[in-house]
Amino acid sequence: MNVSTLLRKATSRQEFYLISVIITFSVIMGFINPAFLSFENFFDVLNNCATLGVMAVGVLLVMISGGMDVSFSAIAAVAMYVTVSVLNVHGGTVFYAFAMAGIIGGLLGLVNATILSYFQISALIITLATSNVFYGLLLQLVPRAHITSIPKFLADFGNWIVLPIISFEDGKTIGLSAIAFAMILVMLIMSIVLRYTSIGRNVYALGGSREAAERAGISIWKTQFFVYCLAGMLAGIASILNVSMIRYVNPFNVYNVLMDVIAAVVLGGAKLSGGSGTIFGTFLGVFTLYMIKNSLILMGIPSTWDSVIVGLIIIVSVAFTASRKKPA
Amino acid sequence: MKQHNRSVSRVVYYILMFVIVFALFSLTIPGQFLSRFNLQSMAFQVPEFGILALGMMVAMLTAGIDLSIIANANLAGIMSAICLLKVTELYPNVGSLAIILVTVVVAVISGTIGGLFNGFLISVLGILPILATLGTMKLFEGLATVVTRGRPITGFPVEIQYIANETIGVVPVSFVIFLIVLVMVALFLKKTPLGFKIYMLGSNEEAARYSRLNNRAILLRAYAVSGLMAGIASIIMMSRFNSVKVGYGNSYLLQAVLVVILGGTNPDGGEGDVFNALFAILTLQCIASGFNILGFTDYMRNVIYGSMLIIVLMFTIMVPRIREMVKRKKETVSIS
Repeated sequence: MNVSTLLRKATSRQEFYLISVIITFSVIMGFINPAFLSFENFFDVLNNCATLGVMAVGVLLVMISGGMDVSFSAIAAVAMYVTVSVLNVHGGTVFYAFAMAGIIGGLLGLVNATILSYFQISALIITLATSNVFYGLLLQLVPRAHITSIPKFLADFGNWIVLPIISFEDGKTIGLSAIAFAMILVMLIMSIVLRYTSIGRNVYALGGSREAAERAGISIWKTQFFVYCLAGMLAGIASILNVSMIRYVNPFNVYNVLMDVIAAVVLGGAKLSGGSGTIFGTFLGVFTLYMIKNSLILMGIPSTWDSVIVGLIIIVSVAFTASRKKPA
Repeated sequence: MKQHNRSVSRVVYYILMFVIVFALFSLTIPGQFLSRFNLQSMAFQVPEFGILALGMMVAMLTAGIDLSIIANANLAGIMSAICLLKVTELYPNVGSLAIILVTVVVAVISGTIGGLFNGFLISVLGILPILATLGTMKLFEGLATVVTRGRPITGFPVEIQYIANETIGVVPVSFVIFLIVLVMVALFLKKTPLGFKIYMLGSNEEAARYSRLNNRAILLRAYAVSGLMAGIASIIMMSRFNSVKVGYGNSYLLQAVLVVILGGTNPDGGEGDVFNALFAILTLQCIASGFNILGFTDYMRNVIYGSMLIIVLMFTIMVPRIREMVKRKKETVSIS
């Protein structure tokens, strides 16, 4: 394989562009504000990515299968609220928290999957409807929308640095936090599942061509159940990461990440028509979004510009993809 | 002609649904539901949301979607509020007519420009509508935040507050505006060539292209109309709260999509009727207000809308299936 084919192959992938953007951006930012290139900042960005990153993996999975899920943020809000309020009363461990939120998320995802596989209509509409039902029921039934105290073990989990790199005298350590580690773990496991297991391959096959997948003997409903339940489960897990980071249960904030997550997944190169997208690309998509948000702060640009920049990134990136698709 | 008959019979279903729901609440909680206060507050709540839903509907008829519609409306409201306050600051003695004229013109122009930008991204650059409008949603939201620094703008002249808070007789002014806009959209969709082309394009893009329709021009204009609706809605929102702020009515976005689909518009494009949508909006408002009287919070509205959507979908999917089954049974009986 010579250089030109290698180059052509690389430039056909979204990951290539995202990495170039990240590198160019880091170099420029390094000149403007050296604080950007510190370990502290890097791990800070990674930490902030975690909630969105784990949710994005679930959305990616759904998108690869050719479907759509807009209910994951409502699911996350429900899982977070129920889990924290139960654990506040009964106590438990971090493992319980993740298991419980994951199971609640998975069950709500099961509702999506059941309706979807029974009626076989637009997944966007179904999940739109269930999202309204889940979120509305949560806020209707709970006495207060916010929970200000969370179990101590969750707060400890949020502070836990798994892989310390630098320690300061005042006891502050910088390194890979448990939250970021959890995200990386989820992503590794999911990329193995997508790449090397038959169910993972089926997800790609279903998104690529539903009819072809059906003729090849792939069970459509089994694959759909797998995808939507897993997306719900990951949303539940992500919500616990969010709680342990901000130490506060706020369903409104979690519910509102919806569009950001979808934007990140699209930025990462997944196609809404299904059949393509990678975990690595999604990770880069989330990372790019947060890196740019973070650097705006370091550049001293008021945070009011946040949405303008994010909107422009989305428009430019999808316009770029659209123009590449057209035959030259 | 056959098509025409079918759409007429559809409207009857929607009217029936509205009448049943209305009667149900009137019988169970007659004192409060049929009170003048409740009926009037329902009429106050419908317009801003209804006009946004109309804009969403036009986008959906082209097989697209306009996620940016609320952000666009907020931006239009903010633009017109800034212009209005500037004008009243410079010319304190300006007349009522001029005040309303400035507000309306600026809001409508701003909304339409936003819509045109969506149309440009979708038709010229060929971006998927859901992605393009996701991006512009963030962009409009961002621009509005930058302009206002996230703070609300308040203190409008009484003329502006009049629009959404006064009544003509017993009917709110804003509701009258809503009905006028609704009729105009209906005329636009059913009686103008462009409206007809929007249906054609939505039902089969490729066929439209082979029929030498200019798909790009149609899409561009459809999204401009969607933006125009955002502009009109922004005036009512501005008047109702007597303030404009980034993020007002964000919860309307999903609800607007929901209502349009509930109103029988096919999200894959080419199918949908304004009057069906009207009765769907009215029915949902009855349900929401009724449950409000029964002591449920506003969040219950989400639950009701969501469950209604699933129930209606179940009906639309199941009814043809059952009909088919009945037909088949009859056939087998007649054969044997």
